[in-house]
Amino acid sequence: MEQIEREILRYLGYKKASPPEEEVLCAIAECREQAARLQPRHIWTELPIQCNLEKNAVKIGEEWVHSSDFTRYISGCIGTVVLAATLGWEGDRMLRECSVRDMAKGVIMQATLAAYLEESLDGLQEQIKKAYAEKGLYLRSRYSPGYGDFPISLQKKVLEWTQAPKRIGLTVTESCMLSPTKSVTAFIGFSPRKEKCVAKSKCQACENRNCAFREE
Amino acid sequence: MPFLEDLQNQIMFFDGAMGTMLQQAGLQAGEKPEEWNFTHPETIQEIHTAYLRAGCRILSSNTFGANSIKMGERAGEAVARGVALARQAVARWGRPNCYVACDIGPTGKLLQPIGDLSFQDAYDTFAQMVRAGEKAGADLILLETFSDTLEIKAALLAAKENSKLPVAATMIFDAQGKLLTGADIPGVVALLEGLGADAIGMNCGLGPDQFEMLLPAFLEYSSLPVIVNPNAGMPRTENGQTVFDVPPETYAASMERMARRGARLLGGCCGTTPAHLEAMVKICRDLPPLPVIQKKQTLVSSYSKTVEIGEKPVIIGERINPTGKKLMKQALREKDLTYVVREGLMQKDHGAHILDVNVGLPEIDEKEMMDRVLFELQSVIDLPLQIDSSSPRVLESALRAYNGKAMVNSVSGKRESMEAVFPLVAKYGGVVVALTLDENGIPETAEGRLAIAEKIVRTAASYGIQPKDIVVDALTMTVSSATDAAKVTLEAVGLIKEKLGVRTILGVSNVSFGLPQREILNAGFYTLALYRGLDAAIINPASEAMMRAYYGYLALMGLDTNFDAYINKFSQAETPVPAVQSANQAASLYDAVLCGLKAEAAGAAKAYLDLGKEPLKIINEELVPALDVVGKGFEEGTVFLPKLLMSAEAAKSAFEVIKEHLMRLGKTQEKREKIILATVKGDIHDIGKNIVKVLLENYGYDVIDLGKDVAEEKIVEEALKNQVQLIGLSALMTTTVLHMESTIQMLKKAKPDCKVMVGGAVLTQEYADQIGADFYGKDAMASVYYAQQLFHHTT
Repeated sequence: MEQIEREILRYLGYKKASPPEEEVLCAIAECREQAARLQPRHIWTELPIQCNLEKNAVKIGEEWVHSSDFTRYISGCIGTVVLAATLGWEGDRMLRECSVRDMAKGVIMQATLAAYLEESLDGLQEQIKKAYAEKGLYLRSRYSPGYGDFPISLQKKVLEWTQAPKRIGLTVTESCMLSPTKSVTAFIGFSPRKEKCVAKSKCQACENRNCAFREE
Repeated sequence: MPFLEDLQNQIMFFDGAMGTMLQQAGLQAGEKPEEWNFTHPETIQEIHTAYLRAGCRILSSNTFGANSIKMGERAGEAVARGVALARQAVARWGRPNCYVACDIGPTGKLLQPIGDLSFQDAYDTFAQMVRAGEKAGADLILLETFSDTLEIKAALLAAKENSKLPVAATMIFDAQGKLLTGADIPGVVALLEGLGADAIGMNCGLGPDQFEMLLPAFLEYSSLPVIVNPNAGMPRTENGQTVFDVPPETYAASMERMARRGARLLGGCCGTTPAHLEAMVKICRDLPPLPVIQKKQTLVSSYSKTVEIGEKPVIIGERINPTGKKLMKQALREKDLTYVVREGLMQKDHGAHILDVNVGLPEIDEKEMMDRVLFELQSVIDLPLQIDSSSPRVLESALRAYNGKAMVNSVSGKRESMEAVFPLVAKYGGVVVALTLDENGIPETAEGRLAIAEKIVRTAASYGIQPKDIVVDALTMTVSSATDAAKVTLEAVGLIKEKLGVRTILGVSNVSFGLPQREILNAGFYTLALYRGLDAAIINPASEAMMRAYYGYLALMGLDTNFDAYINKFSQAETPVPAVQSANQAASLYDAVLCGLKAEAAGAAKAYLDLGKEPLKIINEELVPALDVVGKGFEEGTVFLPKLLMSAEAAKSAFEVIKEHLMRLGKTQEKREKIILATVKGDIHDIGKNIVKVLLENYGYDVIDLGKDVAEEKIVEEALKNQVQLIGLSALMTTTVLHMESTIQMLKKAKPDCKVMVGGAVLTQEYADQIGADFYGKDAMASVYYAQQLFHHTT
């Protein structure tokens, strides 16, 4: 089974011990075919950082952010990449169409688009990694607003830094939700030393221990 | 106005980038450029002056993002100052025929249904900028860098309704000539022309090379002067900075080629400097302006698709119309918009190019319903729509909110009709269906109908509506009441096309009224009409006979390249007709639901009904037990969400069969208690709520779905109005749980007997208790069990 299929099944709540039904696999294949027609768009830029470990705060660009989780994530880095990616208007429309036609297809499409977006971000991160390796810099894993105590309200700044509304049509609502909904923003710290990041992964950082999607 | 006069007979020059120049002058990342109107007015003026010196004639004020969403109460003042600074620069320069454009960019937010900004709020935001800009002395309004057709529509309407200034409008395209929304160049041209822009074009996003590739499409469709304001190349990130690579000479050479091809307003966007503009003006200044030619294409569009009427025959789906359709009537009465949208999708699947939308029923508020139906349809379906109403009030509201250039059904030769409909088409744009009847009725001869069509086209012209935006309906009459009825209509179609050069349309099915096997006559008549040059037909795309006639015609007339469409449609073997279910297959409905097989479940339900089984028995002995088994499996962790929903959808298809059956008998299915569902204010994720809805409906509850991003007041209002005992609220994030809490507080005050169940990604039992919810649904089935417990239903 491909990695993306495993991810889709994880989002759908299937555990390793429970194999998916044939008709669910068929529906996933259909959704993947449709999703492949989307054009993910992304944009990224680089920002300087400054850590204050005592205060659990990091200055990103001109903005001080208080978050012990992010401080732990970024400490040791000399700067950060900030990126924004979206499956666009069409991703949202596709999801709504599926939900209207058939709710089962709707939830499968929802999982497919989420996995598809993550996969395209992995590809982007590989590119960035190569570009930075040439400068002798190493990347950490991605870290997004909303992980642990890293404030979701930072989305507005992320979109300003990346000019995402104009460049890729990604915006944020009053309540800090990304719109279109199938979108991601993330930071990727970089440092001159190859070292293991001490931050918790996105699932480990989350307090919801009963979440159906928690990585096993 | 001098600007418009110059536009008639000259090539005009816009200025170049403001943002790039400000960054060079020290503007920091994240700092708002418009703040510099207050803090660094002299720098702004210097930039304007540099562009005037370079030979630019239209200055764009430093007001791009000076809207109330980004700048709050300072917005109006920021616009006034920005325009005043440009005005002063022009005054100091002292030469004639230089103009100030009040520059307006997008809000930076997405409009509903994708985002959370309403059309009206977007309109108000732009209107404030327009008024401030005109008052401060702008000569024109420049709408630029828009990506969304609906947002630029709000801005353009705001400009037209709040000032007398000319409007120039430009949007960002990608290298394939598409907006971020997916709209193409013909669609954008159709929309902006229809709304009354004075010059239209492209800016930002791409460099001059790519603009050159896209310009021919603009020139092919636009009857207005075309603007090209490219970036100085494609943006590239270097050391975290955005840089542009095209040097002034190369830029100027490219702009010259575009001017020679017919672009009439030239300027620059990101990365361009006075040096770029100076080089450009120098070589373009003495070029002769190419005339702007009136184009003849009849275009209808949605937010992402454009249909040209007149190329290939167009199919307009007729099914969204309550006339003679019981299920559609009931869906409209019950505000079941999912049903309406599904009818739209069905027609799209069958090959419709445009959908007619008629929601007129005596007992409903047609205007409100039309607005809601259009909104829901446009959230899901990308086909252009034909707004079908006899009420000018309904038409106006719908045309205003519609995303794209709509079809309007219809106007007639009656004076009253033309006086009501033409001003709307002239204002909002649109392609209008013109019925060949007037105060004296429907003429019996082709010549008579031609005369009315001629009158309509002439009258339309006096409102500024071009013949290309009129599609004439020569009216299909019933052959059984007059034997030459079909012949007259066909003759009229040919005559009207020949004499007036307009497009034609017919509703077809009327021809066979009163005769058996109507589809035979309808399809035959349709083929004859197509041969006479019929451009569009309003038909049922699900009718096999009509679609056969359509594809057959295309194949025979050389309109189907390589017979692709024909072969694709008809090469597969006939699908076998499902065998009649026998009484022995008594377990099949139960099994079909258990296995999640939609078509089989519907088929089995029909078989039971045909055998005379009571609907209530089918529900209680087959459907509900199967749902219970699946639900229990889900609870125990042996069935997963996709499978649970497949069963739910299978059950739903069986319920629909039962509902139709009861309706034929003049009965309605008894429903259980009403339950309101809503995703709370600020929250635009509704998949969880939609899952719960499907399940509750399966268990017979009457779900009132208020949608997503629903304000507290609205939920309370509906709870009181419908006297509901149970409300389900969904929220995805901590930021929106706040609205969940305030909704619960308001509900508890206004309707203390009403229980509230909550669910959503961030919620936990603790969190639910904390915000005062009566029940926390940890998963989709939990809400069903809670409702059953609350209403004392056991299964």
